[in-house]
Amino acid sequence: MTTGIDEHGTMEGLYRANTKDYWRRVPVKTKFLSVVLLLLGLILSANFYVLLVNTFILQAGALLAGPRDILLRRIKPFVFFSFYIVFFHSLLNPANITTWYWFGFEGFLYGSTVALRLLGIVVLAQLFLVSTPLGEVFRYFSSWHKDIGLIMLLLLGFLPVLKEEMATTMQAQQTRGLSWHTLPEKLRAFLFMIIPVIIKSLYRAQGMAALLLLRGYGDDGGKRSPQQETFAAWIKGFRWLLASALVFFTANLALLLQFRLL
Amino acid sequence: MDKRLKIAIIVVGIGINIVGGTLASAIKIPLFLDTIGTMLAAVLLGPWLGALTGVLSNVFQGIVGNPTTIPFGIVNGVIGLIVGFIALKRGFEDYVTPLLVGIILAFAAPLVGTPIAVYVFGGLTGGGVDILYGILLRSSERIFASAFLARIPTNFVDKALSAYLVMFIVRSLPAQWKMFTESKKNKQTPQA
Repeated sequence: MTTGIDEHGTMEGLYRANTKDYWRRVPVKTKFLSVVLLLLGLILSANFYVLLVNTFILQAGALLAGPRDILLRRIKPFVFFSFYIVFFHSLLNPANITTWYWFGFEGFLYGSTVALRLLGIVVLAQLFLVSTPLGEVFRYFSSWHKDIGLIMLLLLGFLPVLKEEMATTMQAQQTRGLSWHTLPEKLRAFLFMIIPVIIKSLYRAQGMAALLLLRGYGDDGGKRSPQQETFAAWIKGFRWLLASALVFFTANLALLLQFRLL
Repeated sequence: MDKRLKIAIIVVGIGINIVGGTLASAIKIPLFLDTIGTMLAAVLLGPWLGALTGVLSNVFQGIVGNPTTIPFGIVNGVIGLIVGFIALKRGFEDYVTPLLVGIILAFAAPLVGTPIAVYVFGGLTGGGVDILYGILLRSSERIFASAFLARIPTNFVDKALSAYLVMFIVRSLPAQWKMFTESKKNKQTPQA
């Protein structure tokens, strides 16, 4: 699992700078709103053929607008997982009636619906995250509620410390003869490694609170005058993006309501 | 409690969640063990901030790593809520409460998580639970019920273990850190 800090010690998350891409230049607000609209549209569609078209549109759009090679690399594990889902449900889905050897058609349809939806969701999320630096995402969270952005940014600084502490504790316990081969041993080892880390990080929480006090962050402090931005200002130049997201969403909603393609 | 300390405890809780999950997969324990921080925050800060800790830890992991963890933030939030309310009601320092938490969460967590998992992943996890899921799917012929039942045993062990761990830690913390002792005090001496 990645924890925000990659091997090179940079705190960039999934973001990779590439100024050529269209998505890089879209403001976070606009991008977030359109991605949410697209996601809702995708979640609403539960029919195989609709999803096939949807996913095709999304993949094509993402590959045209976003950083291609990075996106493809990010999507690869999910492609394998999608094949696994399709395979599993073709073999084991209880709805299988028409079968070809062991593979059932109904299960195949079910599995591919789920897999296509998963791929669409992953493409959208990756497109958003690859083209947005972590700091911008968290600053956008701050515009909802300032504490949420603060928590995220503090966490970004706290995680490397925690990981280092984890490594130290692990080495210390291994020097004292801790080993893990069988399951009970593993559980014991987990407890012996996590408890010191939890206690130490609770101590660190006190320090963190003191630090926030020192920096002038209080119950009513840290208030900044909110920047007044009109709706027209932040979708300026990106109207068609939002419009197409809206069209995608309403088209899926209409399909769902009109033809009951669930 | 001081607001800054609350924020710091939320940050630490999210960190413990992430480190716990990473460590469990690093030493290959077949459990998740990624809700210890949520439980700790819920016991110390109350249900709503506990839920916030849970949701934010999944959102954070989704943003810096794997976006498909974000929908499961709902599960983590529900865990925070349940543990927080139980802690307010009965405290979190006796030997019965963690077991109770384990039993309740063994059903509540899959109840929320299974629909998400079925919708997004077709009920698959990519781990050992899939074998159990396949067997149940073959015998019971229901997708939701199979995915739900396959998750209960793992979830029970996982949540009860985490709850006992949190209980032992909470016992040794100073009294002013605990939300439930404060609320009990307020009940005994109502402030005008």
